[in-house]
Order: sequence, then structure tokens, then C-alpha cells
Amino acid sequence: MNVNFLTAVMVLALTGAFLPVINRIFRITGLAGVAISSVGYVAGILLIAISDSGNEILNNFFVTDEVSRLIGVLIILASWMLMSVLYWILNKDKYVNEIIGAVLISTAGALLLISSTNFVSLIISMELMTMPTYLMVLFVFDDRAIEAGIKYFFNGTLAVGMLLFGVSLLYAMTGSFEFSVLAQKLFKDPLVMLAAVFILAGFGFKITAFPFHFWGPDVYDGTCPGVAALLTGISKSAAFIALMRVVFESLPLFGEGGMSHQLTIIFAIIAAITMTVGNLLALAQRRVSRILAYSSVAHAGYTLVAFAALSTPLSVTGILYHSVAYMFMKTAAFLCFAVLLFVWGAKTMDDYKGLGKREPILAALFLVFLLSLAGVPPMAGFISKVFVFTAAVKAGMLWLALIGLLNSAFSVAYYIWIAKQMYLEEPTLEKPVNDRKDRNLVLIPLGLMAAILILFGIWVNPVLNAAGQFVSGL
Amino acid sequence: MLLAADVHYYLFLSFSLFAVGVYGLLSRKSVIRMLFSVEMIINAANINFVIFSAQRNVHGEIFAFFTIGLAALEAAIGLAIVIVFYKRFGEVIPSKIRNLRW
Repeated sequence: MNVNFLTAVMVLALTGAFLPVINRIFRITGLAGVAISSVGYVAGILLIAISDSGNEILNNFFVTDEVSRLIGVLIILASWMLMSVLYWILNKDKYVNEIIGAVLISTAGALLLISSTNFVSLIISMELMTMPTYLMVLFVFDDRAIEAGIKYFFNGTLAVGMLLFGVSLLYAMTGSFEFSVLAQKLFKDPLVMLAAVFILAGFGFKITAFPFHFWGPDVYDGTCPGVAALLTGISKSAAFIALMRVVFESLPLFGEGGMSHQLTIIFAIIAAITMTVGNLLALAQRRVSRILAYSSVAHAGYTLVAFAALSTPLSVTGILYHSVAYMFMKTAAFLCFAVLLFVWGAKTMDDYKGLGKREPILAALFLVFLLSLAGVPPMAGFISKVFVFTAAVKAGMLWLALIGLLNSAFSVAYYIWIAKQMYLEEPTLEKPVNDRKDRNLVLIPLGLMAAILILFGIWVNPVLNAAGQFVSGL
Repeated sequence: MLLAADVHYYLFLSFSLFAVGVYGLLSRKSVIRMLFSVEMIINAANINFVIFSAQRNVHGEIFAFFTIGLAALEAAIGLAIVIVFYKRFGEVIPSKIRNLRW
């Protein structure tokens, strides 16, 4: 790991840790908290930008390559936008500095998670990423949020426990924590296979893959939607990158090696079921937050399609691109929902009637994110789906690509339904619940996210370079 | 040095501890009990680390220390959540709450 990258992580984590302390001593306002944390974010981005030079430390545990550099910068950007929108919503709240600090610590954990190359560092950084979110989920302290917090905490600890137990079995059989030993012994020893199952189950909880998806929508629905944006967007994308490192650095790939074949089938089945379940359940919902939550389950399925295609190098591109696009569009969609919920109190589909007339710019941005989630061309969501399904076809799984395309077409239904409610119906909500003078300020971070989405829909080179470097380094 | 034959007993112990922990988490009798189950799952992994560290190398034992730290962290956060839960609902039984159909 590059020392500059590590410094970026340290700056973020320490800023997040000391912000509540500073708040406790000096009683700073939320705006001062935003300023301090913005300094942390900018320093983080600059330090990552110069992380291609400098000393290497902790090389057994972390690696700094193009992937971690690119995804790191994007995670920091997404987290920065999220923090500003969260501040805009909560700035009257007593604990706003605490929640900003928690966002920063969680971001630092995500940065470590995407660069970990060892099961020790993987577990520690995953915990660092998850621990602050356990408390953030509780944040609004109403009944639903506390229940969601309990549910999220116990599911998260079960996930980590499974991961930990799998890693302990792996250590028992091989005496090592490297990713690569997982593959060397995988089909020779039943206990190592069991360990792999436990590890995959732990990741499945994190990314809400099919058998473990049930907690996701409830938690994302119960907590305040700004926090749900962090959970679905940033931490899930980071978990995808970590899973990519586990899978791709542990298996002998890209060829006739029979090793990857069995795993391919497992991933393909999980992906197909996850997509279908997510989309079908999303169609049945009436609350917009639950629609977005189930669509995040479906998107976990799309990314798993790229994992299933792991015999071709294009799958790395698919995973990376979809993680990047997913991180921005899902975070931004939840943030838009959060702002609409805060200003208009809009929860269900009926509340969304005519919001396009009431909030023209915000509704247009929401439409951009929804179309990107649906996979409409100028946005990044389209090009990422192209890469994912091309990888599936190249790996010889036409059926999986077909299921994916079918699901993609399905999913347009509920995204367009929201758009139709916003633009074609007559308004039902007359007055805003919370009318704020600085209403337009919140459009800046959301607009920036839309710009990044469109930029990545057109300018594909950075992700392709990162993927190429990752593949050549295998 | 541990004999290879003894290892099976310890593996049996850690697997049963893990199974009891998972059962306790899924049965959802009370939040405190679920918190203990989490500890059980983590300590099942810990037993594996320590036992096999005697056979393999010292890495497992070092990682066990990290795991103990993680367990303490999870207990602290879990207890904080339980206190909030108790203050709100006046009980520690999660299955009585139906908002999220858990």
C-alpha cells in the first residue's frame, strides 16, 4: 500500500473521529462541521491523486493499484456529496456533527476495504466500514429506525461472524490468510470448500445477494434515507470490489482451468435469482423507498452476472464499471428521495403525483438517476450494463445475459412508473412540509452527481485502464 | 504441540458453538440473548484460530487478538443499540414489534 493512500485514509478517519470531540468541546455548528470534513475530503482526494509515488508499506495486507486509486477517489466524491446533502437535511439536528463524523469513518473503512489483499485486512476494514453505519441507521430515533437498526446490527454481525468463521476454517486447513490459498486447496479439501461457502455467505449478506437479501429493503426503508444512501451506494460498491479481489486473486482464471467452472455456475444461478427476485418484488411495492431498495437488490444481481462471467477478462471491466455507476446512481437516487421526503413528505407513489411541476429541477435530476438505474444510454448505467452482459455472452452464458436483459426491461416498468407519476399526473401535495430558503443549495451536490454519471457514461477510459491494469497484474 | 487426533474434538467444539450462536440469532427470543449469540459466533472462530495456530504458525494467534477487539467493539455497539431499543419499547423482545415484519 502506498503511504500517501494510507495517509488519505488516516486523514479521513481522524477527521471523522475528532469531529464529535471538537463539537463536544467547542460547540461548533453543523456548517463548521461540514467545513472541517470538507477539508478532510479534499485532502483525501489530493493524497490519493499523488499516491502513485512514494514509499510502499504494509504490502502484505493492502495494495494500491489503479483500481483502488480510481474507486477511492470516486468513493470520496460520492461520500462528500452524500455528506453535504445529509447536512442540508439534518442541519437543525443536535447530532449532525456526530453523523458527519460517522460518514467519514465509514468512508475511510471503504477505502481500506477496496485495497485489501488479505483476509485479515479484509475483515478489519469491513468492520471499520460497517461499525459507524450500525449507529447511523438508528439516527432519526423513531420506531422504524430503531427496528431497522436492530435488524441491521444482527444481520451485519451474522455476516461478519460467517466471514470470520470461514476465514478461521481456511486458516485451520492451510495456515495462511492469503486469498490465493483459497483456490489452491478449494476442491481438494471439503473443509476448505465449507470455508469458501461461509465466506461467500458473509459477502452475500453485505451485497444483499439472493438468499440473504431479505434484510436489505427493510433496513433501507426503515432508516432515514440519507443513511440508506450510504448503505446501498458506497458500502455495497466497496464490498463488490473486495469480493472481486477475493475471487479474481484467488482463482486461476482466463482459460481452460476447470477450477473456475463450478464457481461460474454458482455465481450464475445466484445472479439470475437475485435479479429476478429484486425486480419482481420491486414491482409489487408502493413506497418509493422500498422500490429503490429492491432495485438495489436487483443491481446486486447484475453485478453478480459479471462475477459469473469470470472466465473472460471483460468481466473485470463489467464489475468495475457497474460498481462505479451503481455507487453514484443509487446514492444519488436515495438522496433525491431523501430531499423530496424532507421537503414534501413524499413517501408513496401517490405522493409523487405532479412533483415534476412542484420541483422541476429536482424532479429532473431524480429522473436522470432513475433512467441511469434503468440503463438508458447517455448515463453510466447503460454502458455498465453493456459491459456486464457482453462479458456474460463472451463467457458463453447467453442464457444469463438474456435473463439479465429481460430483467432490465422489467425494471424499466417501475422506474418509468415513478417518472409518470412525477410528470403526467396532477399534483396532490399542495404545500411543502419543510420550506427552506436555501432550497436550491441542495441541487449543487445532486447536480454534480448527475454530471459525474453522464461523464462516466461517455468517457469510459479511466475504468477501462484500471480494469486492464488489474487484469494484467493477475 | 497438539496431536493431530485431538484437533477433531476442537473442531467439533467450534462448530457446535457456531451452530448454537446461529440458532440463538435466528430464534430471536430476546435482544440480549442475540447479543450473546453474536459473541458465541465470533468466539467459535477464535477457538479455531488459537487451536490451529498451535499446529501451523503464529499468525492465527495474532489474529485472535484482533478478533477479540472486534468482539468487544461489537458488544459495545450492540449494547448501545439495545439500550436505545429498551428505552423506546420498554422491552427487549424483538419479535413483538411488527412494523418491519421481522
